Amino acid sequence: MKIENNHFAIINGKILTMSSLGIIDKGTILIKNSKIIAVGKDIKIPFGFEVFDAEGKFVTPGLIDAHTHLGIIPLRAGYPRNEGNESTNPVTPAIRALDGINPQDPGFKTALKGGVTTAMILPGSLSGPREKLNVIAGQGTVVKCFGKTVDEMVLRHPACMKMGLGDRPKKTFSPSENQLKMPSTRMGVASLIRTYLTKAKYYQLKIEKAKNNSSIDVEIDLEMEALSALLRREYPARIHAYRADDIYTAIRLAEEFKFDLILDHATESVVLAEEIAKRNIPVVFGPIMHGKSIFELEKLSPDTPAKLVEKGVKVAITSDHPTRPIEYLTYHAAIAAREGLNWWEALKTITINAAEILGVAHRVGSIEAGKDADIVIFSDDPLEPLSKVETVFINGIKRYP
Amino acid sequence: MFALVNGTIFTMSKMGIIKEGIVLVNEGKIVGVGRKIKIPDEAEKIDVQGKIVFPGMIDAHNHIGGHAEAEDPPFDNNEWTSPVTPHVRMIDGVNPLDEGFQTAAKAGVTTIFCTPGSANVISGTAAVLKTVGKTISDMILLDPAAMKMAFGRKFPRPSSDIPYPATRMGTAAILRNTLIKTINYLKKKRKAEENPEKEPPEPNIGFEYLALVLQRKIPAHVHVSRADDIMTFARIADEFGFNWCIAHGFEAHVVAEELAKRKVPVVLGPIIYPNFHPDIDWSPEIAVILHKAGVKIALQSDGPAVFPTQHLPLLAAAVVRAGMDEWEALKAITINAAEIIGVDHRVGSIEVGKDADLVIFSDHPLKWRSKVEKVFINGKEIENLENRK
Repeated sequence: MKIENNHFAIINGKILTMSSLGIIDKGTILIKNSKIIAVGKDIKIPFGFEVFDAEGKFVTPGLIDAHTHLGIIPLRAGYPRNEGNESTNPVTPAIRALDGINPQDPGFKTALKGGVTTAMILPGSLSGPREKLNVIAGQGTVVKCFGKTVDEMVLRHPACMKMGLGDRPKKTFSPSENQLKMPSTRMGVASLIRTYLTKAKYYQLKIEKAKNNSSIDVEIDLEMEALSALLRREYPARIHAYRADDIYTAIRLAEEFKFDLILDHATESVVLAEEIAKRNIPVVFGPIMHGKSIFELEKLSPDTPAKLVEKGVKVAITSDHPTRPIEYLTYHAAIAAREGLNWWEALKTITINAAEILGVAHRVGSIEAGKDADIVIFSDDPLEPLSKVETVFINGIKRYP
Repeated sequence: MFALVNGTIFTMSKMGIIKEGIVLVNEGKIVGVGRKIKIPDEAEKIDVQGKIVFPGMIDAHNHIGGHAEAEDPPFDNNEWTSPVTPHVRMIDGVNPLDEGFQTAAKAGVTTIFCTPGSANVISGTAAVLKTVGKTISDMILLDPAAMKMAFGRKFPRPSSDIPYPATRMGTAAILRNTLIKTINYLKKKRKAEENPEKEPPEPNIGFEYLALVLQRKIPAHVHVSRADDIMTFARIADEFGFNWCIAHGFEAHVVAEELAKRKVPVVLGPIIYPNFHPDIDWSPEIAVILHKAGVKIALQSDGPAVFPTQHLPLLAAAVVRAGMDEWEALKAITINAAEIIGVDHRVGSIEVGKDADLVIFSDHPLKWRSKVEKVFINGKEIENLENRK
C-alpha cells in the first residue's frame, strides 16, 4: 500500500524499539504529523489511520551513523576528492560542514538503502595514507538523510568541533622532509590545540569584560566564537585518534580545558578502556570492515566494541562514509556482534547510542512516543547480512524505496 | 589421515549440499566425500555436528603481501617507473610473513590471486598463492598465473614525472605496440631456431611472459571498469586472440552479452566500496545482471587495503541481498574463482582429489553469527602453523 498521508499505523511487525520497551512482537506504532504518538501491543488504531502491515518483518528506528562525510566528500566525483578538509591551515574552527554538504550527493540515497536516516557529517577525510585532516578541522552537522536543501535536513548545528591527532594532521602539513610546516610532530599537534584553546579562553575573558565596560571594544572573531562554544560545553569535541597515546592526549586536553570529549575511530581504545569508562567518554568506533591500510591502524580489531561495552563505555559504530559505504552500516555492527558484542548492544551502536552521543536522542534513535517517525522495515533481523531494507520513513513520510 | 564427520558439507560441486556427511582427508588431499564413506581405523574422527564444512575460500583478485599490512606507502605491488613492466613478477614482491596472510587464512580465505597493482598498462605477472607458508615457494599454487594489465582511468601516480599515456587512445596504443613487438620478437626467435645462421633476438623477459599470453598459456587479468574501456580491450584481445578476464568490472553489466559471447569472466568488485568513479553508477545488482547474461563471476575483495580480505563472505551476502542466487554467490568465492584463475583442479570445491583446504563455520557462512572455527590448508589445521614467525 502507498503511504503518503501522515496518519498511519505500522502493525504486526517485530518492533525493536531500542528503548526500555525492548522488543515488541506483533506490535503497533501510531504515527501522526511526522511523530510517533504511540507504541505497544494493544493499541487501538484511530479512525482515519491507514494501516501498514509489517507481518513477519523487523521494525527498527531509523539507523544513525555517528561519523560520516556524506555530501562533503561526494560519490562519483572522481579524484582528487579533497572537499572534506580545508587543508589551507591546520586550525580552521570556523569551517562548517553545513556549508559544504550537497544534498544531491548520491551518498544520501545509499544511506536510505541501508536504513540510515540520521547522520553526523564531519569535516575531515577518508582513511588512506595520503588523506588530509586539520588539527582543528571545524564544526560538524547532524542531518536527516533526505531533503532538497541542507537547511531543511539539519537536526543539530553546530553539533561538535572536529579535531585530529596523530599522523594524519602531521602528514597533512608536513608531507615530506622538504615541506615542513607546523605541526610535524605529535607535540606540535597538541600544542596547536592548547594554543588556540588558550586564545579562546582569553577571548572569552575579553568579551566578559567588554559586557561591563563600554570602553572596551572586542572584534568578533568567528574562530574564537566557535572554540568558546566548545569551552562553554555547548557542543563536544570529536577527536580523531587511532593510537592509545593519541587517545590519552585527547583526554589530557579535555581535562585541562574542561570540554566534553567524544573519541572517534579509537582503534587502540581497549588499552585505555577503564580510563575512558571512568570519565564517561563515548567512543565512535570504526569502520570495522576495514583493512589495516596504514601503520596507525596496526591494532584494528573487530572485538574492540565488545571489550569497550564490557567495561561500560558507550559505543557507536560508524561506516565513516565514504571510507566505507553507508549502505552497509549494519554489516559493521554485525561483525562486532559476531566478535562478542551482545546483539541488542550491537543494534544500540547504530541507533540510540549514536543518538545520545550526537545529542539528538530527544528526537531520534528509538521507537518511542514523542520521537520523530523515522522508521525502517527490514525483511529479517537487521544484523543478518541478507536482511533487506524494505521501507524507510523519515518524519512519517516514506522516502525509500 | 582424518575425517570430518556429521557436518553439513557445502561441496560447491555438482554434489551440492550433503547433510551429515563425511569428508575424508589423507596426506593433504580429499580422499572421500559423501554420506557413506568408509572411515579407516587409523583416521582421526573430528565431529563437526551442526557445523558447515566449506571449501577454503578463494579471493580472485588480491594484493596481500605486496601491499603490506599496517604500513604506509610505498608498497611493493606497483612498479611505477614505466607503463610497461611485463618483466616484473608479483612473487618477487610478496612477503610471506606479512600479517595479512594469517588474517586471511584464519578467516577461511585459503587461496588468493595475488597480483601487481593497476599503475601500469602492463603491470607484470600475477601468481596464485595459498595463504600459508614461510617462503613464497611454499605458497605458490600457480605462477605465472596471468599477466596483469590496466585500462581506463589513469591511476594517480606519486609524481607527475612518471611516464604514462595521456589518453585512452594512448593506453590502447601502448598495449598494441607492445604485443606487436612481442610477435616480432617471437618471429625472430623462431627464425633463428629454424636457421642457425640467423641472429636470435636479445633475450627479453617481458616478451617471454607476454608470449605466454599470446600463446594462450596464461590469460590477461585486466583492471577495467567502464564499458567502453572493456570493449576497447575486447577489440584488442580479438585482434591478437588471447584469453582474458575482467577485474573490477563495475560497468561490465552494460556489455554483459558481449562478454558472455566471448566467454570472458568477471572478477567483480569489491562490491562494498565507495563509488568515486565520475562516470560509473555501480551497485551490487551488477552481479545479478552478469549472472543472468551467462557471464561467470567471482567476487574479489581487492584486499588487504581496499576491502579487508577476511570479510569475503560479506561480499557474497551483499549480492544475495541484491537478488543473486545464494549458491551462485557462494560459487563466486569458491569454485568460480578457482576456475577463473586456473586452479580448479586443485581447489575451490570439496571433491575427491582436490587439496584439503577446508573451513568449518559454526553456522551458514552468510549469517552474522557464523564464525570460522577451524581452517585446514593442505590438510593441516592452521593453528598448528601459527608459530611460523
